[in-house]
Amino acid sequence: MSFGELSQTRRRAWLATIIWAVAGIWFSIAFFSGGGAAEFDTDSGRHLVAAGAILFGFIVYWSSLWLTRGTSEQVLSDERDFQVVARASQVALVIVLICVFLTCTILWTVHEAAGVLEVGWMWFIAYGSMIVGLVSNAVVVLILDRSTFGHG
Amino acid sequence: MGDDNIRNSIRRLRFEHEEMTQQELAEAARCTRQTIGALEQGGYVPSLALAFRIARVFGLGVEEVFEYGPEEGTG
Repeated sequence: MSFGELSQTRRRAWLATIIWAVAGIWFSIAFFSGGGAAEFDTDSGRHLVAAGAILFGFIVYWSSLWLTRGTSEQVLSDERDFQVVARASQVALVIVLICVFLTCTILWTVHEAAGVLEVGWMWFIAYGSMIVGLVSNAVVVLILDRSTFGHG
Repeated sequence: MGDDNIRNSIRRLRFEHEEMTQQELAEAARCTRQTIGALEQGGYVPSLALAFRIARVFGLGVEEVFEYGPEEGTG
């Protein structure tokens, strides 16, 4: 099945997965290169590159929504799509909560002895939770759309 | 709710109606082809409104297209 034959929901989920995965890799490179969290908050250049990842993500994602808008005569999504998207949002929220919890726990464990934590990690949690939420939401839509979700 | 079993005759009815395609039925019932596919595979139970629209496309009542019955061992 070609990309054009996919439903609008599935097409958008594939695009979102790719776009936010690229943004995630982009941010990770910006964050972990050149000193990591220790100098991230004071390095305006790296900060700008990291912010660029999010800006890139939203501009390309909104563009993809426009490109896949279809025509008004077509039935592009229906009740099943709405159910899939709604459930995916619920699952993605839980995934983000778990990731934030685990990240905080790991940071605390690693830095417990030192008694201090670089403030740059706050940016990591902020950007990271956003990207994880957006990627996981799109991936869960793809999984639920393929499954027998909606039965019963 | 999970013990309920709702079957449908959509695939058979499509073929009895001049081998109507999933896309044609989807357009007539105002849903997506993927939803028709999921219905035929028994992977999705539609809303009452969609069930009525599908039945209307075939010129039948809802109970002639969809069959409800609790699974064995329940109720």
